[in-house]
Amino acid sequence: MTVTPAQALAALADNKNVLLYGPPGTGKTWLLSNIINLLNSRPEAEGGRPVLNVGNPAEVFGVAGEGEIDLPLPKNMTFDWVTFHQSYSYEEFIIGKFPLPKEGGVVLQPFFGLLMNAAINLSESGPDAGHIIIIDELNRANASQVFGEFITEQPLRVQKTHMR
Amino acid sequence: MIIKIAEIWSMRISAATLYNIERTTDDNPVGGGGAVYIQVAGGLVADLLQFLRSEYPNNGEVIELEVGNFLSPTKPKEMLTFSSKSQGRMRIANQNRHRAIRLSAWSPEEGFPSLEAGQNTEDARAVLEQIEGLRIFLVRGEDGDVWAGYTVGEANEAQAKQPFAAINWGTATSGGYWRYEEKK
Repeated sequence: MTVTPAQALAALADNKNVLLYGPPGTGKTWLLSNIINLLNSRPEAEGGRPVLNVGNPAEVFGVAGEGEIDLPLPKNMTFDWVTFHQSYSYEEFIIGKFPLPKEGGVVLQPFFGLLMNAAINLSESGPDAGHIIIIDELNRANASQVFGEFITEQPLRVQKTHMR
Repeated sequence: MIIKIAEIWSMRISAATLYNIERTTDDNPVGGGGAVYIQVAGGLVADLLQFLRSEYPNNGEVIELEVGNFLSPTKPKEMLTFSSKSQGRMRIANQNRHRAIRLSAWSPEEGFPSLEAGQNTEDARAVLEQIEGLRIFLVRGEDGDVWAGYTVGEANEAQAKQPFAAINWGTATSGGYWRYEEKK
């Protein structure tokens, strides 16, 4: 099926995770790049076309750009793009220790990985904030090695969209 | 449902108006039944008529406007009735919820501020001060449909960026009219 960037993002309204799958060469990575383009082109609050969000008491008035797509996303969206590979690990995605030079030697310094970093940033942001992690080539990494306990801790409710 | 705003008319609700549309059936002023309408001050009439796309109505004439409820869009559309009043003012008729059928978008069921039975204008003033202002608005969408609603308090950071922020939130102005114009 043909999936548009807006449809893929709209699926996030009901699902924390959206999985795009299909044979090679069917445009999954291309779609991801277009999702990034769409997120980057979201209109700023100032200067956009005012809209009335009928039936939405939390935000009666909003802003949309000309030709915009109604995205069920917080206003202040940030995102990361990562490509998994065979060596991608828990230390990079959740938390790990990395060597840092110190006093002529090396110390192991703990670092938050992509997911933890995003979660911490969001916890310090307002209610209008959101974050999307786009993972390309998900199946190239060892899932249990990357996600660790988050496979069970995190409700991995997935909407699957098949591309062909 | 997202409606692109073509026009908006907004008006701050005064303590006297809030009292008029809230007082109960046995709370009548001496010598009359008392007002049951929302009064539109003379300074806002031109803006209202622009929104209504109408001339000032002669005495006895009414202007009707079908509106939707901004919080409950599946409710049936309702009719607002506008008429003239002395000294160039206008009124939005039949808005006392105890003596008429108030527009549902402006009802306590939708969170619209209310008064207890027996409370007076001073109580209304206290309510409005506590919530930092109450405004009713009419929005005409790009498709021509009109939606009625209200705002409470000052604009938040996002609302303050709206081009009609000054007329639709807070207490600094009495209200006004705004129309979207295509950027060239």
